[in-house]
Amino acid sequence: MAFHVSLESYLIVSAALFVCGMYAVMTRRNAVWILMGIELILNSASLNFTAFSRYIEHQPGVDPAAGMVGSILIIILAAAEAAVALAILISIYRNFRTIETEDMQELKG
Amino acid sequence: MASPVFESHLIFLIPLIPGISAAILGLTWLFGTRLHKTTVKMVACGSVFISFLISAICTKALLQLPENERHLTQTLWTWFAAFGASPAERIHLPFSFEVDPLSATMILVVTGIGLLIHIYSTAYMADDDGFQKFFAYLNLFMFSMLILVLGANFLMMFIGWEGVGLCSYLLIGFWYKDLANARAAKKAFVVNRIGDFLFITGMLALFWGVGMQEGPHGGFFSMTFRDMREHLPSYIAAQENVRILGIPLITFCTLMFFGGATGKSAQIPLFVWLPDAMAGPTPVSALIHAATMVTSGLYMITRLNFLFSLAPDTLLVIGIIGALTALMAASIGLFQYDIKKVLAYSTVSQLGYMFLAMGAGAYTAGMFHVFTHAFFKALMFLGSGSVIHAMHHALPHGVDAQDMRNMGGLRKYMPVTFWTFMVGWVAICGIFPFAGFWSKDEILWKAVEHGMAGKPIWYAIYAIGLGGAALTAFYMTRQVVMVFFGEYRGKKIGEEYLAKHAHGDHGHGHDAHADDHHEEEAHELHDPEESPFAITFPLRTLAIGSAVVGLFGVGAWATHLTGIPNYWNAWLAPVIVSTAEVHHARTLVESDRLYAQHGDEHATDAAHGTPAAHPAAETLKREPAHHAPDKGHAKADAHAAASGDHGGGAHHAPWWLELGFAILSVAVAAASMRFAWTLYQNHPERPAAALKQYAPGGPKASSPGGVFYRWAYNKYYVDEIYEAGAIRPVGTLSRYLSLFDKYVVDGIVNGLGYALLVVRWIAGLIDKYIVDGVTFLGFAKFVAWFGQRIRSLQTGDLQGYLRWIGYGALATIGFYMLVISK
Repeated sequence: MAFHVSLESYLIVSAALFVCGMYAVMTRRNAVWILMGIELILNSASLNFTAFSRYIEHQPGVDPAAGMVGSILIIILAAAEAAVALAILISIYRNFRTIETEDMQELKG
Repeated sequence: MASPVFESHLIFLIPLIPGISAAILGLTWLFGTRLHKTTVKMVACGSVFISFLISAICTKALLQLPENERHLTQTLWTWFAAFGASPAERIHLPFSFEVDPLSATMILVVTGIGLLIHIYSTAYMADDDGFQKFFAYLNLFMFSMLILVLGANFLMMFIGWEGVGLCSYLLIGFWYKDLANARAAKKAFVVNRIGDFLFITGMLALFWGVGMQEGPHGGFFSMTFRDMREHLPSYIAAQENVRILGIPLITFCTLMFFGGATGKSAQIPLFVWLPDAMAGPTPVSALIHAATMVTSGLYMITRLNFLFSLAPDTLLVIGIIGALTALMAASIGLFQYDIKKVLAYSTVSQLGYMFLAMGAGAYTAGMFHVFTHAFFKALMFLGSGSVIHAMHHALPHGVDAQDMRNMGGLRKYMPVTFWTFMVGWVAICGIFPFAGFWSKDEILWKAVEHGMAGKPIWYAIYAIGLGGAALTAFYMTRQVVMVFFGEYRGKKIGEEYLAKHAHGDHGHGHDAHADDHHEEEAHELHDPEESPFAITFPLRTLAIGSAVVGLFGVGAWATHLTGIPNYWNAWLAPVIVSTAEVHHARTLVESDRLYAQHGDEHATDAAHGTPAAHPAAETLKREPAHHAPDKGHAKADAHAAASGDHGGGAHHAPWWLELGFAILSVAVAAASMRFAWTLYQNHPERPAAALKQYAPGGPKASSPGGVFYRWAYNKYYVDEIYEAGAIRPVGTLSRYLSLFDKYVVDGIVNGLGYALLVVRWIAGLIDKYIVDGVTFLGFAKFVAWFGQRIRSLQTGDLQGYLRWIGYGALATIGFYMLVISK
């Protein structure tokens, strides 16, 4: 008899993670903090994938690996995204001597 | 012994080398490079010299061939070709040159005398700014002239024909800054265009008429002279069957050709340009307007003699026009004071003699006069140039250096010019044994022969010719006396002029290389001086030529007395169509006609093989037996050929009769010279006094003499007649046409323009208010307004954007939850 965790529990954790990430992205002015918030959002999505995968894997016609693959894809994407984003941040820093987003409003209309 | 194949490969170089030289000198001039004068001299004279050498090589190669095979042909490429259904309809026109005795003679004259004149020009033009340009033109002329005489077909000849016309124009107008010179050039060009138009008309008519006729001799489309001659039956048939404007084809075409010749060779009615052409530099007058270009009409007639011999009517016209021109031009020459104008009218007159000979069918005699005339007339022109050159330096600017009244006594100052001019003088007057005697006498004798052959009009032509000879002797003597004998009048006239114009206004003579004189020089009077060696050398050479070249073509009486044969006639005999050849061709045409009529019954007509199967002309090769190699026979043939095919038989007149006529012409010339000498040398005041009496307003103005004087002095009003009869009507017509142009054509064009303006105005309104106002500007304004409204949304604030994303997401989810999933 395995310890059973319901789908809702996963989704609540995931939603909490998403809201934490969203909050960081919206409120922090430092681009690194924004990046960290994005990581949280991605992780919440990844958690959703895994959870849904676990709960639908025994139904007929469903590929049991599909959710896992989506999750792994997000992790790979997050790694690549982090590398590119950090490179952009360094470049921004070289140009502006800051990574505060409110100092970077050259394109405003 | 060199093989002729080698020489025939050289032919194209004869025109090409002067052509290259012209290109070098002309293009460098055009692009602003002024070559050193020595370079120009070397290139210009050198190219002509090489050309002369190659001509001599080709002529030598001709001489090594048997008499009937004397032709070298070089085909460079096919100019154009057209292919019809049958072999006869194929047209093939090669770009090819041909040297035969006739063209060999011409190229030797053109390059030989041309070379002397080039040398002469190096001194004559030495002070001219356009030195390089002059030689470029002169070489271009050599190029064109050599193409004219070497061309193996009609179109090649026509290229040269037009080319020499162009060079003539360029060189007459060489000092184009003087309006009179430019007008003279234009006149020469326009008058020549008329001739050229006739020429090309004849050419096309011939091509069309011969090719399109029905029957076994139709369908012959070649324009190559040698082919044409071998297809003589085609032309005979065309003469009988084809008519244009009611005139038999060949007669029509030859008349057109003669029309072309009257333009190029300055005969009535198109001679008016030649006296004006004296506006060009004197070497040009000598080369183009005396020795070479003006004889191209004669060359063309001789080249096409097989056609002209088929058209006796044309020949009669040529004879009459030639004789009249000879007399008329000579009579105008009597009253000219310009040293070059006298020679110009003399040239027209001498050309008249040549045409007279052509008219008599005496093509070789005519060409002989072309040959001798080239020597003595070039000599006299160059001599006059030498005189003008000296007078220019001797006289002040405002005094005409070409007016013979300002000369006199020059024999003391210019001995070489004087002596050489004397040779030219006796040569042109026809004094035994100088060149002009033999050639002119031969021509007059041919006229007499024709008269004796039962054509009495030729006695009249002979009489006119003899009268012209007397006039020639008179005006040439007058010129010689006025220029070289008596006292030098220039000094006195010059002093009077300077006294009158103490502050010297600067007019200048016609032949002005006056531009580069310095002002101080113009106020000093020099004695005339002998010209430099580059001028006297050609004079000496030509003087020797004028003295001896007549001996190439001595009269039959001289052959009889001394045994010297007439080399000239024998040399040109292969070129001239013989009586037997024409007769043979006629027989072929005749038998073909019989065959066509009775062909069915006599399928194998013994008289004529199989005429329908192959053109009959193919069987017509010039009879080898006719030109048998033994000397005496060939000579007789030459004589027969020279006297023409029609009328024939006349050449059996006894030698003593010919001698008698020769003595008569010498006597007439000598008497005329004596008379002129008496008038102008012994009693110089008499002609002036007499002319005063006969002049308009004088007591004898209305006597026949006065009328003659007035007419001749005014050149028979030919220019005025043209002015009134052609130029002014054409001008008036042009003015009316220009009115049409101005009011009708321009009205239509302008009306259309105004209509378009109105349309444009309306279109502008539409564009402005409808297109711009409603659509494009409307859109633009809306976009701008909207942009203004929403531009504040773009804050550049990253989190702000995220907020909008968030609102958007919430709105989407809310919409989904509240509306769609209900």
